[in-house]
Amino acid sequence: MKLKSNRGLTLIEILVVAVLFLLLFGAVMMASVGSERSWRTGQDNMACQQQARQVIDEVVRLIRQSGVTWSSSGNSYTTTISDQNKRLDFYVPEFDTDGNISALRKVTFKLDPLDTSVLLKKEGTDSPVVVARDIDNIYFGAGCAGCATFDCSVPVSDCPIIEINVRTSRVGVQNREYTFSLSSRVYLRNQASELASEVTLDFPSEGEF
Amino acid sequence: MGKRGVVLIVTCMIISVLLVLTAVLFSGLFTQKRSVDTQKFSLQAINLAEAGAGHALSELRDRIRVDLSGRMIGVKQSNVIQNYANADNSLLFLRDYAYPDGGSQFSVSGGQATLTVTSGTLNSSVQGNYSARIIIKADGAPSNTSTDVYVFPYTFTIESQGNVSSVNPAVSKNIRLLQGAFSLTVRRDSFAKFALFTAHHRTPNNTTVWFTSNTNFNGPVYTNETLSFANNLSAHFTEEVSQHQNRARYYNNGSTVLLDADSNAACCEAVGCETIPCKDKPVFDKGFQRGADEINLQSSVSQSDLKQQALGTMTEPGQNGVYVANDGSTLTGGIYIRGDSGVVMSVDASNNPVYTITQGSTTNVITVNYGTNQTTVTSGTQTQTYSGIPNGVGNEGVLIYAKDDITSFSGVVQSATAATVSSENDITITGNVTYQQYNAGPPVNAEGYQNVLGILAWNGDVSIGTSAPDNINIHGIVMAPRGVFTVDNYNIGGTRGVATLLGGVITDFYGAFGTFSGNSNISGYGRNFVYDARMLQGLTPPYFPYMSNFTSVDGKATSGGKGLDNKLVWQDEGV
Repeated sequence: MKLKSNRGLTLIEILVVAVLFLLLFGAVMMASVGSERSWRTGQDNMACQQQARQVIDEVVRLIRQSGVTWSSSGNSYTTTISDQNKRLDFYVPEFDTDGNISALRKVTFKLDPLDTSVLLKKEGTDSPVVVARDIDNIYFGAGCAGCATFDCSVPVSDCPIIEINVRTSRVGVQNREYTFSLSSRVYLRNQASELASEVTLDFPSEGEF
Repeated sequence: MGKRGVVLIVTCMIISVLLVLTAVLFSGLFTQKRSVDTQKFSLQAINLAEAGAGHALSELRDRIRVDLSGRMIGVKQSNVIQNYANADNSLLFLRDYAYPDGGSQFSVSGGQATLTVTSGTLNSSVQGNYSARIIIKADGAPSNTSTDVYVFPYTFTIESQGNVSSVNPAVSKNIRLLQGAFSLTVRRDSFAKFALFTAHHRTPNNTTVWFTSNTNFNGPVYTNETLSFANNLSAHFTEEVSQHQNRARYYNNGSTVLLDADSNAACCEAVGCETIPCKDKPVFDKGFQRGADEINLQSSVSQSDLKQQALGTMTEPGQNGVYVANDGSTLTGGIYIRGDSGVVMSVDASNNPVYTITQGSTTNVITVNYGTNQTTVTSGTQTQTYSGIPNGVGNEGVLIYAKDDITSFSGVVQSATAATVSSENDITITGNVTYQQYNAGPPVNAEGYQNVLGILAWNGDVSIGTSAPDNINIHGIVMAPRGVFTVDNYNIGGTRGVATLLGGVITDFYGAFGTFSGNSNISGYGRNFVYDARMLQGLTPPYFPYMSNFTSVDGKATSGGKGLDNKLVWQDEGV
């Protein structure tokens, strides 16, 4: 093949090529940044959802084993909702190898007073643990017959149901806010159970949590 | 050419951006789906496990209340039950009696009886199954609390596993229902369980008694003869109805027919003949059994047995009077009356039951104090206090036994009192006889209360006297094995309103209460018989006659304080 010319590239040509290259590079970078942003958006969304699911999973798993009221030696231990429906206290049984209730353990879910986006759980005298972060709002409500709006502070014994609403939020790239809401209703399986006198009680000290 | 290169590069970039976006999208979707699936399958498995536990609990109740209870009817000899009790074989007793025909029995080994129920594979919106195991242990040795009364205490646990098979690997969840406890009381079946029992289902002068839409029974009904039904709508029965004869009598618009059927055969509900109306169609919620075994109204609790319970250590007096059996300081039997008497039951200001028994001009007042376990007997000007309660030798409950007629009977049964008022001859009710504690309803009932009364005329009638008030109320189980429950002069005078009975009627014949023109009462009382459903739960007046067969009633266990209907303790996982 015969070359048209064997002279080099003119400055204009080099500049054009450089500009074209920069434009292409910029486009690639923009696409890359956009993709990365999309990825992070997805990640933030999933993290949001994951936190909400963790809350529901953990609360449902534990409160399902509870009941409206446990009685022992003349004392009553009742599931209660307080702190403007943001705190849930209830009691779950522990069993010995024969299937008898050996202890009653208090469980509390509440927001961390130092960081209200963190949901804490305390079981018995164990140290509090973080259940989930990014909590934007949480709502515990008891309801059913006579309290269909699920805004009661104690469950009713004939249909003891607790509603849990949680909304998580996270500020992502470019200060964009992601939110996710999840709710569930749980039927308390153990009702009006009278405990034997030898059952031990596993509670934190008054005001400890 | 350079332009084409640019297009290629731009296209590649766009594709790569789209790929990244697609990857992000799918990654998010898959992560979410995995997360939701985990929750969904776990929840399905828990629900399946709970369904299994519910199935197992239902199966246990059926085995005790239907299968074992049904098999007890065939047991006549007390040594059959006694052998299980004496040998401390509570679990073998369950295995041998608590199973349906053709069904599997409890497996007994290692000190426990077990039975497994399964769902089979579900192929609905949930693909999975459950398997639940009932584990029963004896809660101590059986006891023989009195003659032919045996109590078998048990504890039980239910273990259930739910499996969701539509995912690989399958998701399984276990739950347990813990601290179940119940007791089985096996005893001779009491006549008190019947809402209506007649040896002959007709009046003593052979008039047929028709059940119509005005006749509703919510307790068991039985006759050794033939029941008679009229009209469509006809009577409604919520518990089992049975008769010894194979054919029932139907009014059939006045041309009476005898049919081995639940309704008059002229009625038709099959496709194609709906327009043919039933002539006589009673409603049986729990079926109508014809050809049932005949039940001998003469109980194995004989009149002399009851008399002996009342006499205690006392020899039978030869003089008329009121006798409270005692050994000088302690009561040893019940209250025995010789000669015609009037009996009034009442409750004093301290909530003690008071029995005022009058013979001619002599009045005897017997006051029972459950708190101090003492009984004060006042006869004329003499008062004596004894230790104990006039509740017979067997301590079942207050027993009044009259050798002769009780010519007037009325009053209130104190809230903690179970009593039987018995006469060898007639008992005439002259005033309201009510429980201190009952629910006015409607329908009137005494659910949740302890007071119960038996009114028993061995050789005569129980009748509502001419001096009884209009709209009389009678709370108690009435039995006249050789007579009727009737109204004196029922066909004389005007209407007296309605006689309301809370209890049951067990008589030889069906007694008349009034005369009617159509549905209008002309004389005597209309009937408002309300069954006392506590009798179906095993409650019976003290020393009340029982049948030759055994029956079983489940209730609270002696140690656990629970029964088959109580909530069990629920345990998630951990097994």
